[in-house]
Amino acid sequence: MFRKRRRKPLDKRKYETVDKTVSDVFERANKSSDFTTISPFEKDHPLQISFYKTLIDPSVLQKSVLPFLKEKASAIMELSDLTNMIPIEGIKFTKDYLELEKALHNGSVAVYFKDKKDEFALLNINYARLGQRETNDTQNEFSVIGPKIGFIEDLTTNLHLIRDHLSTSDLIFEEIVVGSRAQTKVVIAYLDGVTNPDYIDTAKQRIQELDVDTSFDNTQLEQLISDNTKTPFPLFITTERVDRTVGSLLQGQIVVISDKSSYAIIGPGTLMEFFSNPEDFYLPSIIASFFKLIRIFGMLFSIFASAFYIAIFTFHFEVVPKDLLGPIIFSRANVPFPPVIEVLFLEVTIDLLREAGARLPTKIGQTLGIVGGIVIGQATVEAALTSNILLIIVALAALSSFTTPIYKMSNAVRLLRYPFILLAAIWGGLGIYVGLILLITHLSRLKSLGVPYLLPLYPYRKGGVVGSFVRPNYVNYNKRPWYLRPLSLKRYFPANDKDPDEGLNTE
Amino acid sequence: MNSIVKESNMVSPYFLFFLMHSTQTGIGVLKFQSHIVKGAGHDAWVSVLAFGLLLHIIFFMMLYILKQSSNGDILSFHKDVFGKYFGGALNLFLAGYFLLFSLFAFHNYIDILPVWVFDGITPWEYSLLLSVIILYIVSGGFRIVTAISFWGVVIPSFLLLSFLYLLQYAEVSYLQPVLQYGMKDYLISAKEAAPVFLGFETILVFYPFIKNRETSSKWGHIALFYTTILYTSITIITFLFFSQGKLEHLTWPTLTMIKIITFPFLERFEFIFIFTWLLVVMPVICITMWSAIRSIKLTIPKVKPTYLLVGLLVVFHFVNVQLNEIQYSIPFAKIVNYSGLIFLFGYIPFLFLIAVIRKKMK
Repeated sequence: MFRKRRRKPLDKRKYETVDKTVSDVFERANKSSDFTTISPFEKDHPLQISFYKTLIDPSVLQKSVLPFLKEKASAIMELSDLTNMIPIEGIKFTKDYLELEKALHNGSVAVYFKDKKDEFALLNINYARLGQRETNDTQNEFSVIGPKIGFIEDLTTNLHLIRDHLSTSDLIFEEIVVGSRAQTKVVIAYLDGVTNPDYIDTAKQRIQELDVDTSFDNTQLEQLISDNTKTPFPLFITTERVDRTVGSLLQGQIVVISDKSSYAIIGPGTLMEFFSNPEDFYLPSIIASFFKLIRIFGMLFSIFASAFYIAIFTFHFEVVPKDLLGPIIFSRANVPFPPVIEVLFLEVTIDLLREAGARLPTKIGQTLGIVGGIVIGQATVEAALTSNILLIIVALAALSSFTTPIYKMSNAVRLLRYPFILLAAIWGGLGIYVGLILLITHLSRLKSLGVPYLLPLYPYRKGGVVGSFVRPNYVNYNKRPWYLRPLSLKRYFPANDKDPDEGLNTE
Repeated sequence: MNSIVKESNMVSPYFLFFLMHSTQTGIGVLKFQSHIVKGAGHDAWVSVLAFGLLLHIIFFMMLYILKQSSNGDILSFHKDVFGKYFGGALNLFLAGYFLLFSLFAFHNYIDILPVWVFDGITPWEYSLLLSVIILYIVSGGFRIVTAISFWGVVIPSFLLLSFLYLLQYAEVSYLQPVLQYGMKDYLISAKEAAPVFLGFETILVFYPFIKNRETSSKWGHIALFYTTILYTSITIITFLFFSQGKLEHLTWPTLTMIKIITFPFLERFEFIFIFTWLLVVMPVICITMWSAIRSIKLTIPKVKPTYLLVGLLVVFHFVNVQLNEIQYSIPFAKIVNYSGLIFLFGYIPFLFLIAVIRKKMK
């Protein structure tokens, strides 16, 4: 706060063990037991092939490489003869040992002369689908109606899914390699002529400047390129749904997908977007708006409910009307603790249940509901550790925090209630409002890819506010949200109601 | 320090509305009615309306002064006209005035809490708590201050609905007969009404941060007009609600009035009112604080703003803790009121004259 931190100059050195020569490459590869070198021919034939057997597709090797090689082995005088011999596309020839090493790790077979290791033919027969899951229905973002296709942990499949849903040549994929040790492919997708180039440049620059050894998952990458890493709020939308991804591409946002990750990240994210769900767009607008408002109410209730309980019963019991005071006193009469202990006890219990539920195998998970809901809940009330009313409030608050569609946001909402509980316990209603001001200030400070997080509420943008609380009618909502500064605003020309002339005026 | 504002730090013109309106509203709104009846009695709303309309002229003068200055703020105007040292001294005076105003708003809110809500918590706790928020907001820079002034107008707006509830208790005969007092009485009322309107003079410092300055002044006029209409309606509703005899003896007429509202789940609505008022008070404190810091920063470039902010908050904290008796708050209110009046109706016209003469000489 007071002193500007000096940023260390980026270290130029990459990966410590770098191979210098071709023999280094082979020597180190040979240490691994899955690296194989075979001479498939008569003993004196100089041709050899090497590969990682864990990365290649063995059936291709057996069916399309070895038979052809054996057949005409004696005819091979130079490596370039292989092109006409083996029915595999994209045979590459290289003399560069770095390229050789990279190709071996990508599942290529290297063919070369035993005594002349300076040129290599690289046959790409990798088995990318090995170990990938077959089902790709959405696991964590569920919708009752609408498509249920989700991403899986494979880049090619994910790109295929997007390209398949949005078959236009405006859709651009740009690949960047991240990581100095394991080289992960990261793809930035956007719509040419729609997405604001500022976002593309910002995202590209941030990803290119990354210096990490490896990126495990997109959700980790998201934190590395985030505008503010010290906030509990997710600044990018993480989704596994294809329809949501395609929808945001059409809105003018960028999507970052990376290899080995089943989550796409969408940026720039704005706060209110986290409370919308693809299902909103499949339901009639009135019903969808109602559900969206319920979700927003759920978020507010979840943050403030237990804090208000504490504030009222610690400091401001005079705000409770006479008639309501009776049942509350009756339920709290035997509880020996102050409200804050009571609330913290229940809140921590709920979070324990939730965490246990997330870690347990699904088959045992069902017992958790019985243990948590019935045994602990009922028993704490009967043992007079908490009041009945509080149990209802805390359970409702937990329930409403699960209505948030994006998992990362629902976690943030769950976490936020603890500071409010503590503030309410110390300063009552004033504490809650102080927390509220700090929260608003914090949210106003946040930015996602350089775009204010609270858009379109602050800075207020005309036309966006309605869309952040309800789901507008398609007939009225044919433009892209212009607070995202897309290059083209109009999205489609809607059809009007099909039967408009009825009523008093046309009779 | 660089006195030219970067484009990325500027805010859209319509924020001028929120910035100006939010600096005018403060704790004064909760208690000004019982002061203004001293002069024109039940006709005092006329004074409120007239005073509010008069401010448009002052605002016009301010804009004229700002237009004549080299950087678009009063700080550069002072230096242009009075030279580096005397102008710098005037800037520091201005900063002192803003700090006084900021401290006054801060002090006032801390005053109200023990009276209406808590009596067990000592003032140093509130003071420390609010200092933390002010530190967090003001250190975020002008855009964050603007954000707080935006939310500080939008969120408390729902409280205005409560005034509609009060209309069912209105007694129209309390306002009659209309216009029966003398000129002097109206002037006394207007003078008493002045403190609630003060605060918008901070525009003299933050105006360079507004985009498209030529066209944005209409938002300033709208803000002033909205404030005037709001205060006049609150005054009229209060006069319809209380008889004059009763009103004289009330310290916080607005809150006393609000007390009548109850819900099946909420007995004392004024609690919500007082706590939400924190959102109304915060922009006043933060904008004046920010303006003061900017005035000092541009006069003495060596001072680091964050240190200055922390230092000022420490001073504020000690003043709030030590001087929280009523014998201090009444003279304090008087000092702020008079210095505000002198600033608006003495100093601004004086600068306006200088600006006109300078324009003519060129």
